[in-house]
Amino acid sequence: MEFTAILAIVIVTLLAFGGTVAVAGAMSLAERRVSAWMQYRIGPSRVGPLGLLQPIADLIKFMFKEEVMPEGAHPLLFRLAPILSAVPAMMTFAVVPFGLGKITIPGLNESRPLVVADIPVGAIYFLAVGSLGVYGIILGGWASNNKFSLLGSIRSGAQMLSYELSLTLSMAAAILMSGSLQMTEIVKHQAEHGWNILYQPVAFIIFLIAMFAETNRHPFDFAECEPELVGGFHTEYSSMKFAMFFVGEYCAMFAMSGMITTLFLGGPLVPFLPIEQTPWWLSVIAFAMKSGVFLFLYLWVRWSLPRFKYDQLMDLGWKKLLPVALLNFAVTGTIVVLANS
Amino acid sequence: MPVLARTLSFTERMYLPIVKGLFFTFRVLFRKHIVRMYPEVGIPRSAATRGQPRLSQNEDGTVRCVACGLCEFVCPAYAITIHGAATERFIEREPREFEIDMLRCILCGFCEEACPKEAIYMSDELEHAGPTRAEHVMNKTQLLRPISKMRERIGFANNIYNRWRKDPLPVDPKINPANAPAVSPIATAVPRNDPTMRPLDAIASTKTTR
Repeated sequence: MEFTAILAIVIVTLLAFGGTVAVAGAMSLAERRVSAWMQYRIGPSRVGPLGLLQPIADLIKFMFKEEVMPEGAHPLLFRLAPILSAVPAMMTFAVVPFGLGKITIPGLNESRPLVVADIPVGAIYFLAVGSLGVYGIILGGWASNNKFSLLGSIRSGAQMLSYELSLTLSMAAAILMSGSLQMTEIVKHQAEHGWNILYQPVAFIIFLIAMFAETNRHPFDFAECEPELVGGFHTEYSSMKFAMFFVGEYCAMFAMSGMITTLFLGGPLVPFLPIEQTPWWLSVIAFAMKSGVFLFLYLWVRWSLPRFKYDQLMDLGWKKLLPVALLNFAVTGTIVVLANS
Repeated sequence: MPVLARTLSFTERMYLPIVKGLFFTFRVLFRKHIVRMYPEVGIPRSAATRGQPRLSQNEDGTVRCVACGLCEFVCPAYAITIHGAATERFIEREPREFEIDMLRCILCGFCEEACPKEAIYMSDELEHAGPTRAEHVMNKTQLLRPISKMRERIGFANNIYNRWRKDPLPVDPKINPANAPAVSPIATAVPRNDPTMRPLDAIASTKTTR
């Protein structure tokens, strides 16, 4: 491989990861602004125009905070846990195609598709790496030498296990429709046959619910659960280590939003515009708008609903979502086989 | 004891009322906020605002206070310290030094109520902050405010406290006399030379039946 080709890959990768981290920063501001608006308040509006520089101020504040490690904490795992939480969250976005066609990188004479790694087992990669994020939470809670942290971690692990099943089954139903695990193939199939949400509304709703649980977001944020567990797994964390958990959570939210967009809403497809005639920048805007809707939904739900009880969480996951997801998967499979034969 | 719970309907068991809640918060998104941008936009104040106590100053620059010590006596937090001194002016006595420890002051307004000379008044100044304890002890020059600025509060306060006074002080002409509090029965019922009233030491020596 030529040097310029490698450079082009690096540039696209940096674009995607930089974008992910930028979205995480923007989300930390959006979280506070949207919550304020929903409570008749204004939110942070002092730093920069409209408070837009607030994430930078937060970052500087985090950097200068003292790092506290509790007595009896496991020194290696305690330091490793935030990294293990943030890095997989950033990695999951790699398989999500965030634009159509190819972009030509100016000055390099190279063109790359707008996806970091279009691997043939993209869906499995997403599930595998996405599930790694829970290791950070479990190790962080365990290494803190704090019983509340550990409780939060255990809850998070059990929750992840319960909802991963429904998530995977609803994802599998969408994959059955296109017959490929490759994300770009799923997008192409949707360009030809219409968005998957038209065929798989049940799977869409199950994925929507399960992705809240997978990212440990309200109303399923049992890993943090302030009133019961102080701060859950990140009780003992401060400074940049806490910021890593924080950023990891938002990155995971963005990756999940990107995934549900790709699977059910046609990803970067622009409605009523053929795939060949779509300029790459328009498809990126379409992708951003679609995922933005889900990112807003995350905030919207968080500031509207109370937290579930833990038994309700398990009841919803195992007794309601899983049977429906299984049934949906079986029916989809049967219909696809019958239609193909 | 049995826990009474309402039977949930099918839609409620499917968590569908969540949608109703979501639409409510979405509507709130576009409503007007109820935030006051505090340092730029101050707190609304009126004559009724009971802020930090201040001393009133006559138009000629002299202090109204006669250093009688009533406010110092009545202060429940011992925040006021007065050092009186003789003066050539008609009032004969004025405070050489008048200190209020704002860290002790509880803004109760007793000093204002006790003052017979309209000298100490609860201003509308509310903010007070500083890194050292010493700067919170305000001296006479720091406390003095021109009486013209405090006229409204003085009239307002007199309107309230006149009900306890034998000799009413002038009230704010803007205040409707019909709204004035009724004169206290204590102020009118007990005549000055009541034969039933006994000296204080007599009361103290009386055995109570309780």
